[in-house]
Amino acid sequence: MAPVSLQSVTKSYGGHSVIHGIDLEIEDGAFVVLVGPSGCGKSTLLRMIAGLETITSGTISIDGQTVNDVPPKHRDIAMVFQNYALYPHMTVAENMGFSLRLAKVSAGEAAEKVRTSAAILGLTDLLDRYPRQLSGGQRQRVAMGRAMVRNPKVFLFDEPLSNLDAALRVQMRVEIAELHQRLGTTMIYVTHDQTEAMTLATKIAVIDKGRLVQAAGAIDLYERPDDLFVARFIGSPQMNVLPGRIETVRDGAYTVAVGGDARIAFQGPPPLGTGATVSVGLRPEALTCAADGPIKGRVTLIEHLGGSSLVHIAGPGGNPVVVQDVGAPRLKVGEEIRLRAAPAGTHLFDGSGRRVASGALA
Amino acid sequence: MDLSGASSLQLIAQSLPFLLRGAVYSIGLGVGSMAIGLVIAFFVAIVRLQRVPVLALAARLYVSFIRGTPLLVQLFLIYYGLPQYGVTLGPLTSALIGFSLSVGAYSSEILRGAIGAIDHGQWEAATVIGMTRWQTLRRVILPQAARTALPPLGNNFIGLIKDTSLAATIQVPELFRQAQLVTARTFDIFAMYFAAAAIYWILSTILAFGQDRLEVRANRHSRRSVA
Repeated sequence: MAPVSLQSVTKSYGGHSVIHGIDLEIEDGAFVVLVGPSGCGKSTLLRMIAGLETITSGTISIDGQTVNDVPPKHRDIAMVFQNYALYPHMTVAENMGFSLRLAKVSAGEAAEKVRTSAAILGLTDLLDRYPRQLSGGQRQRVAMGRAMVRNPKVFLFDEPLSNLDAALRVQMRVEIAELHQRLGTTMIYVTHDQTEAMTLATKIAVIDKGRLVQAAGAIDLYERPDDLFVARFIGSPQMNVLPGRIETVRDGAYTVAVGGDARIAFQGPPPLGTGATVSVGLRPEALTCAADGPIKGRVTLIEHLGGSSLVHIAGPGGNPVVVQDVGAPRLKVGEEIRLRAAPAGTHLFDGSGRRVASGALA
Repeated sequence: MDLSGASSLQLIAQSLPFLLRGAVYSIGLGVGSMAIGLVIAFFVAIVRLQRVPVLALAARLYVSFIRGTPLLVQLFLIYYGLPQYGVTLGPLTSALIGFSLSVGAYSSEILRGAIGAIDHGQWEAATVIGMTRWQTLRRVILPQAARTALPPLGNNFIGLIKDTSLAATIQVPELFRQAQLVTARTFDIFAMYFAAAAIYWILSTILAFGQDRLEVRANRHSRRSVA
């Protein structure tokens, strides 16, 4: 187990910068998920921690040791790859024990470590099989087992579940979470799936265009996003964002005009002056039907998901709004409805996308 | 041996030891050239994959020249051309060099493709667990690349056994040359060349069967179990 520290880490290819001065502290035993859209630099960052990519500037340290110039084999890390990278000409047991053989561990000790890891991961009956004879989930477990036997200070996962089907992804997510609880080892995990991030992480680092936008716990990110990017990225279905303008301001309250005639009243001193352009963020699960609701719209589509439903609405000014669980079976496409927002799921962002207020509905 | 007045079948039967001695030469020349050629091919492939500055260019030129000129011309350059510069080589040595260089060029492209086709993650996974590039190549990459390379390399070898007939033009006493020598004495052109063709065909068939068995063995762990 070991803490990992990134200080002003940058990466450039030629003159093109892909990672811009990232600072991130990963505590000993933490499960940190690097999340962001495709091409945001999260995999590059992970590969820099692994030593598979060089660092242009800044410092990466593992367990207090600067590892900028340390080769991967001496960083005491283990990595699980997106495509598993199992050796097809070796059995499961050989795949798992290969690194131990390299490290000159005695055959008996290596076999014992492989057996122990295989038992934890439910691979005992598969030790004599070749990778091609395994399902996706089994291959993933072998890749994890291969990392486990080395007992590294840090586990690195590069989108390990992206090749699996939805049901298997959920199952493997649970297994990875249980593995972390069992081992207590520092884990750094890359994904573009925010559901994966929220269910696994003790801390989520949201990355966009090579910059660390926000690093916090899942609940913090969800309830107090620093900016519009995080607000939109975290949460499923995605947060509704309506363009608006601060209109009237009077004794400890202000209203925001959204679309044509919708007015949302907020409490407290206005974060910006009258006439300022803002964005109102409304979580789909914070919206409910109410006869006197300030947000008017027309139902355009209803998605029944079993336990809940998603209602798509043409909202104020024609802006699309998605509502979760509003007694959807009663609603019909084309119906005019009014919505009220719960304070907890309402945020206000300034013109640059920075959050300036949350949950202060009048 | 006196072959005058013999029927074609008798002629073939009587000439068989003579032809088989030539076939042994052909096989020896083929096996030797393949072995040396594969060593050349491996280093050329690695040099090109690693993009070693000057060596990679030299390797590319070598491959381009060998693939872009007829094998017969290459054999003539070595056997008849080099003596002009004071380098005189025997027929067998010349043939061995010529065929080895040819195998080296063609096989280097096969190996380069096979190694290049291995997912880059395999290199990285090996790097993370502490393997050197050479260890990774030997223990992880080549065993996988060999499976991909085996069919085209096998085809190359079968082709090479047949191509050894070109060595007849530089006096190597291989199968085709032996057939030529018998024909010169008996003038039963069809019978002798047909006999030589039949031996080449039998050799190719045996080699193709061997190649199939080898491929099955090499791929035993890449077939999904039906259980």
